[in-house]
Amino acid sequence: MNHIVEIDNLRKVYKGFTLDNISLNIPKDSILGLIGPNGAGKTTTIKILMDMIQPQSGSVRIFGMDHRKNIKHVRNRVGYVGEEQHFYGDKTVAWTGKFVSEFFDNWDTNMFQKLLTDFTISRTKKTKELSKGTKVKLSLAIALSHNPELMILDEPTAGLDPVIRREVLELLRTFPEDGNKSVIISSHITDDITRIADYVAFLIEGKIALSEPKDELLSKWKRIHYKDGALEDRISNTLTSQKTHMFGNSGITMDYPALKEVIAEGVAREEIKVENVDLDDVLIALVKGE
Amino acid sequence: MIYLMKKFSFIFILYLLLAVGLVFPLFNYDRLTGPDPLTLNFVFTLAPYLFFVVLGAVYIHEQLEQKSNGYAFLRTLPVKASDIVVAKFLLVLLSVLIYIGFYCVAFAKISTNPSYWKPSCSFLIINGNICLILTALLYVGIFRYGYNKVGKFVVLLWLFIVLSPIPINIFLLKRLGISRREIIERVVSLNWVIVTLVCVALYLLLMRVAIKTLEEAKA
Repeated sequence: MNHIVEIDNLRKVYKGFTLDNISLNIPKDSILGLIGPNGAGKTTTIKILMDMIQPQSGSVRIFGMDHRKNIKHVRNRVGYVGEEQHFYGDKTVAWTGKFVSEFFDNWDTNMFQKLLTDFTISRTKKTKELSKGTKVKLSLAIALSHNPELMILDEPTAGLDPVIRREVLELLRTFPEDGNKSVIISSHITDDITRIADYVAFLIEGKIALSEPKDELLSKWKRIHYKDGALEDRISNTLTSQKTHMFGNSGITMDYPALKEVIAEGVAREEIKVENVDLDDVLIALVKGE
Repeated sequence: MIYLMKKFSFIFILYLLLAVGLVFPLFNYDRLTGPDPLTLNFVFTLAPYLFFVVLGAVYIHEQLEQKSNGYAFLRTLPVKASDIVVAKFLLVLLSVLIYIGFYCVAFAKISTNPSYWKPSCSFLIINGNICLILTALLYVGIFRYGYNKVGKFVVLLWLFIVLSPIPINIFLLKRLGISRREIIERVVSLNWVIVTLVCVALYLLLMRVAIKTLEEAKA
């Protein structure tokens, strides 16, 4: 089993929204960034993975097992941080830790206490008194304290201050280094995904628009700036997100390696310039579909 | 599951203590001081208290679960929907058994007349069965339609159960000339062992429906 998660043809229909034909394989020792605008179906996909929502069709295998039939076992091996954090509000952080510890087979109390200290979370505070950021940190502390093999995080950095956001991302980036561990993180903040992900999947209007290793994607997608007449029409017509400005024209190519030889002369004459794009550019190009 | 039961049990214990610790001496003080304290009035009023204890505990407990998003939290943990539902159903069953057990022992202790306390116990057991079915339906309703919709219905149902003995009394006694003794005799003349077995089987069936409903419910 080379894939820690295998998603096959998921379909979930809501009034006004359909999550359709979602198929993804997530290799071991990797971080998958699930990118998409709000309402694209990221949370629905993640909730299906956690068996919080049932799809109309399709299957999910986690650790090689049917996740629904083995949900207790699967959740024991998955650290989950949801879009919203739910705890018993009237209970303290310490109580919450003790409560959840009863459910996990591999709960590490020392690790939990260490994370509470590292994240500066007060043990005596009631969970309803915690700020949004601290709730996310508590969720992360719980998720990490039972030695999960897979972390599933739904927009974990939304609402966090930059310092904590950086800490959380660093923690996730180093998570697979332990071996055989993976992370699935959804976000519409592409900067977060760029920092940590090995693979990216773009979810647009309930469908996977693109799914590739991040570096491979960024090596293929480039922005081409060119002066009038510097690029043949048959090439310029293949560019997306085309713009015309006072210095010339620009557009994004999805297959730069195929174009590299063709435009080499233009680049040498400085009539064509090639610029790296970021995941934001890719997302915008996919959303606008220009 | 035992751990979940412990977590859920607080409200149930509170309501049981309220019922057996407060209701018993306060509401029945005068009856306890009579020649045979086990009067029909006493038995007749105990049934609504059973509903108050069990349905009330479930109502408050579910309100707290709703307020704190308890189900959403539990569903992030390695807990099956069946564990949650079975824990709740077992707690209800235990509460009913404790309530009935307590009063049946109390009946035997305070009454010198077996022809009084035996039918009284039967009457209470049959009420316990009805209470089990109502509670199971309540859980299925909450898991399917949400607490907010079903909660209002529970208040109305509870008010009906508590207040209905008064108009029923008036109607039966004044209009039809049927006495409470006759009602109780008719009720206990049923084979309550069979009734109980049927009701418990139905309760367990509804528990399965509740599990399925919670599994299918959106997080």
